[in-house]
This record gives sequence, structure tokens and C-alpha cells, in this order.
Amino acid sequence: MWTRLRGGKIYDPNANATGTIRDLWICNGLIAQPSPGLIPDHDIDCHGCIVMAGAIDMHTHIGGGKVNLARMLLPEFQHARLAPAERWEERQKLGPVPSTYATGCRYAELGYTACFEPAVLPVNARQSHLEMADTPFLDTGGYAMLGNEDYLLQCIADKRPQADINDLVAWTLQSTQCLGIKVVNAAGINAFKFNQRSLDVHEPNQHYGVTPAQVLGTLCTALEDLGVPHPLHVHSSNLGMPGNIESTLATIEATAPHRVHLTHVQFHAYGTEGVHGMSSAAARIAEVVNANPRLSIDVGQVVFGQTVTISGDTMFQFRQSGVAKPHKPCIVDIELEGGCGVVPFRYEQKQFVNALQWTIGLEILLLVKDPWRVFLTTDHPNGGSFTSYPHLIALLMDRSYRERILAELHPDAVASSQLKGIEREYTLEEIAILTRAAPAKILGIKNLGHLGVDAQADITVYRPNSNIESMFACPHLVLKRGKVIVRDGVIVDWMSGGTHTVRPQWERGGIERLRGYMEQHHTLAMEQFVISDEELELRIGSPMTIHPLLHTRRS
Amino acid sequence: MLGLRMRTCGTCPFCGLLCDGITFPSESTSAHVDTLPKESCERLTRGWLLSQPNSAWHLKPLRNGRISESQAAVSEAAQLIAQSRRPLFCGLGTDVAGMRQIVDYARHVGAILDHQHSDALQLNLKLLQHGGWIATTLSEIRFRADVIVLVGDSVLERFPRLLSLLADGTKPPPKIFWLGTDDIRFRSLALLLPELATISLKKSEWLSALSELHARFSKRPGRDSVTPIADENKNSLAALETALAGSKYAAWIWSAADFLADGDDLILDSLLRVVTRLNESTRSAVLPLAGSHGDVTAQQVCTWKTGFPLRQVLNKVEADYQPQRFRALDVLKQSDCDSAVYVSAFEPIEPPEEFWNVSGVKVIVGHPALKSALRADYFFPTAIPGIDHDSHLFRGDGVAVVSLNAKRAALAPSVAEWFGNLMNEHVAQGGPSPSPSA
Repeated sequence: MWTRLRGGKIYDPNANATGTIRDLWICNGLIAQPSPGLIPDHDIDCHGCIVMAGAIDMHTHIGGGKVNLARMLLPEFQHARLAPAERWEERQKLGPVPSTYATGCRYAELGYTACFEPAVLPVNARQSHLEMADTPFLDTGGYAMLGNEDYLLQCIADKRPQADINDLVAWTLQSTQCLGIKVVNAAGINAFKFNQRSLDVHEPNQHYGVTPAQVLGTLCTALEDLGVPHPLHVHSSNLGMPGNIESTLATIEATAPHRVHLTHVQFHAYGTEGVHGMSSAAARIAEVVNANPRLSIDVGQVVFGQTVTISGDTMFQFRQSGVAKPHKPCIVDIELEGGCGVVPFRYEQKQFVNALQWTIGLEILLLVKDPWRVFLTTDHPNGGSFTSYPHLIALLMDRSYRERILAELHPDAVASSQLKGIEREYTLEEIAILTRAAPAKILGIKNLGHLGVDAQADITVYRPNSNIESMFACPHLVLKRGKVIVRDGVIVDWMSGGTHTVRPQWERGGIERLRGYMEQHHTLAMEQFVISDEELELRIGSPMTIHPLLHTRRS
Repeated sequence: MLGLRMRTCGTCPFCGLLCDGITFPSESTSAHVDTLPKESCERLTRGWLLSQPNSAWHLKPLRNGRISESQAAVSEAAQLIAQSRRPLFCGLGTDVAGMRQIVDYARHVGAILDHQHSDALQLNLKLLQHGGWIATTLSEIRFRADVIVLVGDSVLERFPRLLSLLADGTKPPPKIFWLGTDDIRFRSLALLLPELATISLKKSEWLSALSELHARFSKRPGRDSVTPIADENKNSLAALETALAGSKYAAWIWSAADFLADGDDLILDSLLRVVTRLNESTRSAVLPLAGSHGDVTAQQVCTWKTGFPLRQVLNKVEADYQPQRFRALDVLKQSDCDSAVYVSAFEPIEPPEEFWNVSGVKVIVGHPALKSALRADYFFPTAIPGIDHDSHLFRGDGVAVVSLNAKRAALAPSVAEWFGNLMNEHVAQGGPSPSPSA
């Protein structure tokens, strides 16, 4: 069965295609090369349209215990409508933590076809995959959380060989069926369980005597030794604190010389200047990212309005409890692995700190020169809902638009911001990099994010529109594995996605020590942490794609 | 008769602890009533004995109490459910796969969803939605807690292996307090556990006791207690207060089923305030333990698939969450449904008497030993999750989905299979569905 998308303007950064007019052929769900003279079974006219790969959100909280806890906590903000809305403006009204069903529908309607859950606690991995499997249309994957387990910290304190840590990391990736490893406030969540209320990068967790810097270095080394494509995904220390730019720069230094991905950097780029004791450090972080090809970042852009923050960083979320709106913070210590904090929050444009956060996110996106190493995220729902992406793309592509909004913000934030002086406007090619090609590359996924032969035929077709926000909010067509699922913003057919994972090697002997530890201290058998391939595919219901490693294991 | 095949690492499905490492006797179909799993507790013994087939079991679908051909019964039941104005799906004693299918089918037919334990679920949810909480999980308590406070009379009956699960063995044992009522049953149970410091309070004394603790840890003078606390309890409470004051990690565990009387929610609310105060200087957290008969499972699956917890009606494309209105028992009492499907797969727990007042079709999907199988319009016998088929269940602390392996060959289809059949039949009959264009 052949389908042809005829005559569209192709934006495919991997092939240096920037508006190149050509046909795109699809066979059996993949982009394919037809033999000369082939007549397609389906011919779709795309003349005048902009054609990109399906978009990828590489950091969005869409599945797992903390997301579901937020749903239970906040029914008052939930949008009751489950099925697709008829008008794109209606879709913007989605609550901060929609059902899996609504999440899949809304992402697909916006032209997104793959999303990655960044905080999978190993004990909760099965729930994360169940929720993601119940999220229609989307290919998914997760980053398993490490860096706060009592076992790992004890290993580092005991100076166990790196090979033992490598086994733990590889076993965790396989057991949880995840694509990468994320560390959240390294050693800090654990420290909070021992009643330590803050922890800087070179400060020891008082119970284990281990510093965040040690944890980061150990985990970066493990991923590099194992050949895992996605570098360590780091939520740095001291999130949200004025002056935390120093911790962020110390984190970067602590991970040298390894590749590292710093997540929701906006929340980690604060100085202490100005009358409010808080200022933008976007220029400093951008300068470091520009100078270090080993670094990549996603932004965590703030969007004004009601949301709920959901984070593994209980140390920070506990501190934030006082500003919860509405006041019902929820903190959970979880299974010697980590925790979660759910704190409802409302970003106000007339509030100095929130306005400053808004400017910092955009400053970072505009000051980092290489679009292959910076990603547009709201850290959904922490900065705001993913449904704001068309709006945010419009802000990046239209200087006058963002300056109009800037003028409405808290005057002190406007006065201290560099944003007004930044002329840069993203091009369509850069948007295609930012939202498609670059996320696939940084995750090591070769069959998504581009339109080359053998890529999965996840495609978004836009009708050009001088209103950029409208254009990105309501694609003309969205195809999933070659099948049209959205036509002019309306879901027309159903399809499930699959799970993306990696499979590094581990030695049985290397995890026997973990087994002994778990038998002693945990209340679940070690076997309960293992999601087999068969279980994932048949019982959870998500077909899997195992991506190749960069190299065979080194130690 | 088949020989026994011993399996290790078995997981028990009969309470929210989902204990591991149990050796189940395994055979295909024959009953071995006298053979109990090793390490059996009261809940497992009961569940296991009830899961042994006997001649009174209904292993075939029934229509008006008579054996019916499966496809015909499913087809008729699906048609009658589709024709009803407002179906109620209640009981909901099933696993993740069953609940996934139930929600999908409910979306097709516009059903109300509520679990048999929903009063207890709703109490915990109300506390959460009112002011949030600081919570913990079983391994955290085992590893970290130096003070454990069991709250309520029945928590150890409902979760018989709780104390052994929480015993780490490598650290000094935690001080364990058990706060119960002055009920004679509680006092007798407490006598059996002399290692626990038990405090037996009248329900009317609880608020005063918690209020004094709150005042103590807020470093503010307490108000005069509404109800004075009996002298014999004052020393026990003082011991609890001292233990909490010196604790590094104090965990409070309750089962909401002990707090369903009017005003009991205030007791747990006060307790949460004490915990908030404690966290100003040390660490403390609560564990509202649940999970039996798939209650946490039903709540979790319903929430992620619809965006809202139980006690809602799925109206094709919208979820209408009204916890005060859609309590199953009230819906039945007030005739707010005109068809009802009751699900109970773990044990033969009969539907409430009000179920039989429903004007339209009454369907039971459940344990083959259910006596009400003969009384229902349609009865579909089910396999027992985690005994007869592989299963996923949420543990009672809500953070782990546990994978349970089958212990024997299934004698009947699973809940998921029956609801899948009902939905397929509904679609085949051209019933309205939440299609993409809806």
C-alpha cells in the first residue's frame, strides 16, 4: 500500500531540506523510495503546504504516579471533555493534567507524535508504561530516575567499583524499559528524608557523606561506559532558588568531560541582582552552552495561568508548599528510591518572579545559538501545559509579538530583561530542528524526527498562515505510521503508539548485591521491578522498539 | 488428581499488601482445601479457601439462573445495557486489565462508575483534595521509621502481615503505638500484641488527643479540650508525645474503613495537621493504607483514563465527576440507574440488597461462588485475578503496580475478557460509541 504526499514544501533538517518542494512516499508505515512510475494507492495533495516530521516532546510529564496523584488532587481544574474538541481555541482550555485519552488526542491534534516521560521511578515504571500505553497516537519512552536511592548512595559511599554502578544502571534501564536515566536533585531527595533541608552541589548528604557532584560524575560515567545514546538527564540542585545559577554552573563542571543534558534550565538560571534579589542569568547559561558542545538543554518555559507542579524534587516542593495555589501541597517519600511533590501553582504576569521566569525561558531559547542543543519544553505541566506550544513557537518566530506581551508584564521584570533587545526570530527550519530533528538525535532515535527513507511515517502538514500560532495549533494533516489521524485539527482515526527503549548489558553478579539489599530493606521482591518484553507488549499493550547503543560496554 | 507443583515467589492478591514470597500449592482444577499456602495469614487463608472450586460453583454463564450459551448471553446483556438510560457499573473488584476494559465499555454506554469500597476511598480522597498531605510508602517505613503509629481498630486485621512486612531486622526496632477505640474487640486484640504500646480512646477523645499533640508541636498552648481525656490514657499519650518529639521519621498508618462514621474525617484531618507540624522540625509522614479487592486499582485506572476519580458518569465524550451524587449505594437507593453491572472477582462478595431494586437488567460479572449468580438476569463467572490468571494490581500504598502470576489454570474467563466481549458485542450491534468524530 503506497501513499504519496504530493508537492509539499519539505522541512527536514536531517536532509538539509528547507522548503524544498518534493513528493513524499509512504509504504507500510515508513517513508519509502518508490520505483519509477509507481502509481500510489492514496494520493494526498500538499501543494502550498509545509511538511515536517511529527513533533517530539522530549520532556513532558504524561504518565505515572505523580501525574495521576495530581489528577486526583485537582478535579476542579480538569476539563470534563474527553474526546477531541472541534475548535483549536477550545483545546487550549485543557486542564493541566488531562486524562491519558485527552493527552494523546491533544498532542496529536497539535502535530506531536512522540512524547517522553522524564521521571519514571523504577518502582512506578509499570504504572508509567500502563498510562503511556493508554495514551493514544503517541510513541513514548521514559527516563528512569536514579541518584537518590539509598542503595546507590551507599554504593558510592562504600566506594564500590564503577562496574557495579554500571550494572545497576544497565539493569535499571532494562527492568524499567526506559530510554535514559534522569537524576533529580542528586542526593537531595534522599537527604530530605533524613531531614536535611538543602543541599548544594559539593555539599555532602549528611547521612551518606556523598555529594551531588559525586553522584552526577558516577552516573555520567556509567552511561558513557554503557554506550547509552541519551546523556544523563539532569535536574540540577537548588531548583527555583535565587542565585541558583552558581549551582547550575557547578553541576556542569561536575559532569565534565561527559555529555550531559540539563533539563528545565529556566528554573535553574537565576541570579540575585536587582531590587527583588532575583535576576536573569540566561546570558550566563547561554554563554556556557554555546561554548560547550557536550551540553544540551531544554527550557521549561513558563506560561501564565493555573497549573500544577509535579516533581520528584521533594526537597524543593516541600519548600514551595507555602505558595501552593490552591493550598493543598502533596509530598510523598517513595520506596528508598525518591519521591514526588505535587504543588498546584498559578503563574501571574503581574507578579515579578513569574514575569521574570517567562522572560528567562525565552532569553535562553533565543541566546543559545545552536538549535540542535536546545529544546522547546514547558516541562508540562510544571511551566504550563503543552497546549501552549503553538503560542510559544509564535513568540520565537515573531519579535513584535513577544514584545507586545513583554510590555504587559510586571514593569521591574520588563526593565531588567534583555528580551527587548534580542532581534532573533526563529525560522521554520529552526523550528523543525527544535521540535523534531534535535530531540530525536539527542535521544538516539533514528526512525523519528525526520523524513528520510525508512523513517516512521509520522508527518505533520501545515497550511501556511500569517498567524503563526494558528498555523501550528491546527495542522491540516497529521499522519501516524502513514495513516491520517488528524484532518484540519479534528481526529479522524485511531492509532496506538509504541515504547522506545535501549538495552545495555549487565552482569548477573553485579546486581546480586542489590538483591541482598532489597531483600533486607525493601518490601517488594526484586523480580517485581522487572518489566519483561512480553509483559510490556502483551499485558501493558505497547509494542517496543529497542534502539542501538553507541558502542559495546566499556567496563 | 494432579500432583502439587510448588512455586516460589508467589504473590497473594487478597489484601492491599500484595505480599511476595508465598509458596502456593498449585494444581489445575482439583480442590485441595486442606492444602494452604505456606506463610498463610487470615486474609490469604480465607481467599485461598474461597478460591477452591466445588460443586456449587457456577462455571458457566447463567441467564435467569439457567446455564446459557456464552455468546448469546453476552449479546443479550450488551443489548439491554445499551438500551438503558443510565447504567451503573459497581463493585469493580477487579485488576488493571479488567478496569481498563470496564472504563472503555463505560465510555461507550455512558455508565456510572463506583467501587464497593468507595466510602473509604472517598474519605482519603477528600482529605487529599482538601489540603494535601505528606505521605510515605511501605519500604520507607520499614527502612527509615523510628516511630510507627497505627491508627484505627482494624488496620492489623485488614493487613495481617503489616508488622512483619515493616520489620527490617537490621536496625533498632521502631517504637510502635496503636491508637484504637475503647471497643472490647480492639482491647482484646491489643492484649495479643504486648510489644505494641496501645492507646484505647473513646471516639470522642480522639480530637482532644490530636489537638493536644498539635498544640505541643506547634509550640503554642493548646485550647481547653472539648472532651477531657481519661486519666489512664494520659500517660500513654505522653509516651507517644515523647516518642514523636524525639523521632527522626514518624509514620502514621490507617485504614480509612475505620473512620466512616460522621465526623471521623475530622480525626484524620487533625492527624494530618499534627504531621504537618512535625515536619517543621523533623520528618513524619502518613500512609493511608488500602488496596483490597482492587479498590486502589480501580481508583487509579479510572483516574488516568478519564482524568477523574471514581464516582463519576462517563457521558460518551465527557466525564461528569460528582462524588456526592454518584455513590453507588445512593444511586441504587434513589433509582438513578436503570441497569446495573456488579463486579467482584477476588472473593464471592454479594452485591448490596439495593442492587435488586434496579428496574432494568441486572448483570453480575464475578466469582463463581457468588450465590447471587442465580438471582441475576445474567451472570458471567470470572477467573480470580492473581490466582487463575496473570494480573496487575496496585499495592495499598498506591506507588507500585505488582505483577502477579497465575497459580493454576483458569476455570473461567477474566473480567477483562467478559467486558471486552460486552464491548465488542455493543459495537457489533451498532451501539453508539465515542468515535473520533463524536
